[in-house]
Amino acid sequence: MLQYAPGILLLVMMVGWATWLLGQRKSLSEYVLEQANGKPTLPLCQWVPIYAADLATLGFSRTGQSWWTNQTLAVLAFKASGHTPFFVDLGVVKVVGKGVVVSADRGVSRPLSRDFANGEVRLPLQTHAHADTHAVMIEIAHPRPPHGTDQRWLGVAINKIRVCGATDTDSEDIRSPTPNS
Amino acid sequence: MRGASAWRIPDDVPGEMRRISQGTHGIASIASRIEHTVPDKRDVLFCVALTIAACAIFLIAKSWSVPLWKDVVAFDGKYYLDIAEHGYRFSDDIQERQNISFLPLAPAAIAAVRWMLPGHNDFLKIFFLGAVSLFGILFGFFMLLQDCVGKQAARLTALVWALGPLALYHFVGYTEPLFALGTVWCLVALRRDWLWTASLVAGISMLGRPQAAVLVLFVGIEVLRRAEWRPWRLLEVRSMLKLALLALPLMAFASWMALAFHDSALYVNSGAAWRNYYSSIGAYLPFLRGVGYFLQGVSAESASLTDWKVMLGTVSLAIAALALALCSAAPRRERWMYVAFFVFLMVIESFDLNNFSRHTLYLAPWSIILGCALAKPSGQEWRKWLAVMPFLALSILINVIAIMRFYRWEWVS
Repeated sequence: MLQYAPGILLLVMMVGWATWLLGQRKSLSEYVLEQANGKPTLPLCQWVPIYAADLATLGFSRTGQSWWTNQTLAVLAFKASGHTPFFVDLGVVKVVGKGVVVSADRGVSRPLSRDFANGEVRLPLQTHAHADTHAVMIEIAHPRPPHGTDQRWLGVAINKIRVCGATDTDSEDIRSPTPNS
Repeated sequence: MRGASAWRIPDDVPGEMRRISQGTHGIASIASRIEHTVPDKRDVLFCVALTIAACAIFLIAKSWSVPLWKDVVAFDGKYYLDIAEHGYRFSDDIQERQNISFLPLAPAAIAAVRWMLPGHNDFLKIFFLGAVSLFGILFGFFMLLQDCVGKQAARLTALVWALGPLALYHFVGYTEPLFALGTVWCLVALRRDWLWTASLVAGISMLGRPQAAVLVLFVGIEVLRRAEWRPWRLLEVRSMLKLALLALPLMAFASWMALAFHDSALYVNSGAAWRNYYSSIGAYLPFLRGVGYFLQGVSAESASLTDWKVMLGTVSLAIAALALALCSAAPRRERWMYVAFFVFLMVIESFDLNNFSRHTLYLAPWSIILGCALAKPSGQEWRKWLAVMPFLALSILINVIAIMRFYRWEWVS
C-alpha cells in the first residue's frame, strides 16, 4: 500500500487543483450581468426600446426596431430595483419555430409560441437579485437549419422591455404602456 | 515478425548488445530496438522534397493573389499572431471578439519562431514554422509506418498529406497543422513505447485543438494497458505522473485564466459568446447534425452555402467516407483513432459548418489509412503513384484555388 502513497498524493493534488478550477468558473449570463451592473437603472413602468444603451445583451442581432435571436442562448440583462411582485414585460414581435423558452432570474420558464406575436410576455423578477441586476434568458432547444428565406425570422424577435413593481403602479395598469412609452 | 523470438540478431549489432541478447530479456530488448528503426537518408530527402513541393505550390499560388513576399497574415492566423505579439487581452465585454477564444499552442509556436528568426516579415516566419511542422508530420509518418506497414505506405501517406486539398493551412499560422503534428507524434510515441513523450505530446496538443481529447484518451488507455488493466495500479507514481502530464498543460492554462481574468473557463465562454453573436446557426454542432444541416442546405440551394463551400464540404465528406471505408487497411490504433475523432465530433458540440473541411482534413489518420490502403495490394509502387495522380491533381487544384481565395480575403475552410 505504501508504494501507492506518492501516486495517491499526486491524485489528491490534481483533484484539488481541478476542484479549485471548477470553482473559478463564470457563466455567460454572469458576464452580461456584470456588464449591466455598470449601466444606469431602468426607469420603472416605462417601455424602453430593446436597443437602448441601458441594456446589456448577448446573442441578439438588430433588425429594424427589434432584436432577434436564433441562438441556443440569448441573454438580456438590466439594472432595476423594485418590490415584490416585481415583473418584467417583453414586447414580442414574432416567434418562429418551436422550443423557444424564456425565463428571468433563473425563475419559471415560459414557452413562447407564435401566438405571442405582437404581444407581450410577463416574467416575475427576483427582488433579491445581486446588485439589482436581472437577466432574461431566451433559450431555443433545437434551432432550425440555416437555410431558406425564413432564416432571419427563426427564433424570437423582441422590440421593447418594461419593468414594474407592485408599489410603482397599480397591478391592473402594469400591462398598459405609460404615456412616456 | 513482431515477437522477440522471431528476430535473428543481425551481424551489425554491437558485441555488447550481442552478449546481452543471449538471455531472453536481452533478446526482447534488442528486438524492440531493431523493430523501431529510424528513417534513412533517402526517406529524409523524400520528406524534404515533398515539403519543398508543398511550399512551392503555396508560394506560386499566393503570388497570383498578392506579391510573393508580402507580409500578409489573415483570418485566424491574424488572431494567433496578435496573441503572439501582444498576449491575451479581455475587454470585459464578452460579446466582443476576444482573442482568448483561441487556444495558446499556435501563438506560442509563432512567438517562438518570431523570437528565433531575424527580420520583421511575420508571413515569412509563419511560413517557415509551417514548413518545419509539415516536415515533422511527414517524417513522423515514416517513424510510424515504416516498421509496421512498410516504407511504401509511409511514402504514399506523406504524398497524400503534403499535397492534400487544404495544405495551405500549413503555412498561414493556423493551429491545425500543429495539432496534426501532435497527433502523428503521439502515435509514433505510442508505437515506440515512449509513454512519457506520448503523455506530454497529447497534453500539449490539448492547447491546440479540443479534439486532442482523443489523444489523451488513447494515451490513458495505453497507460492502463501497461498497468495490466488493473485500475488501482494507475496509482503507482509513474503511471500517475503520466496521467498528470496529460492534464497539466490545459490545467495550467485554465489556472492562468482564473488568476488573470477570474474565470477558468474564459476560453469556453468567449468562444460561446463569439458564436452566439457572430456565427450563423450552423456553427458548433454535433457532427451528424452539422452534416444533416449541410445536406439540407445543399438540397434547399441555400444562399448561405456558396458553391465553394458545397464543393469543399462534399470533397471532405467523400475523403472521410473513403477513409472510414478503407480503415481496416491501417494499423489498429490509427484506425480507431480516426473513428474516435468522429465519435468525439458527434458527441461534443464543436463541429463548425463554416470550417467543415479544415476540421476533418487535419485529422491526420485519414492520410495514414489511405496510404496503407494504397500500399496493401501487391504490385509495383510506380503504378500506385500513377493511380493516385487524379486524386492528387484534384487536391492540388483545390489547394491552389483555396490559396488564391485566402489572399483575396474570401472564406476558404
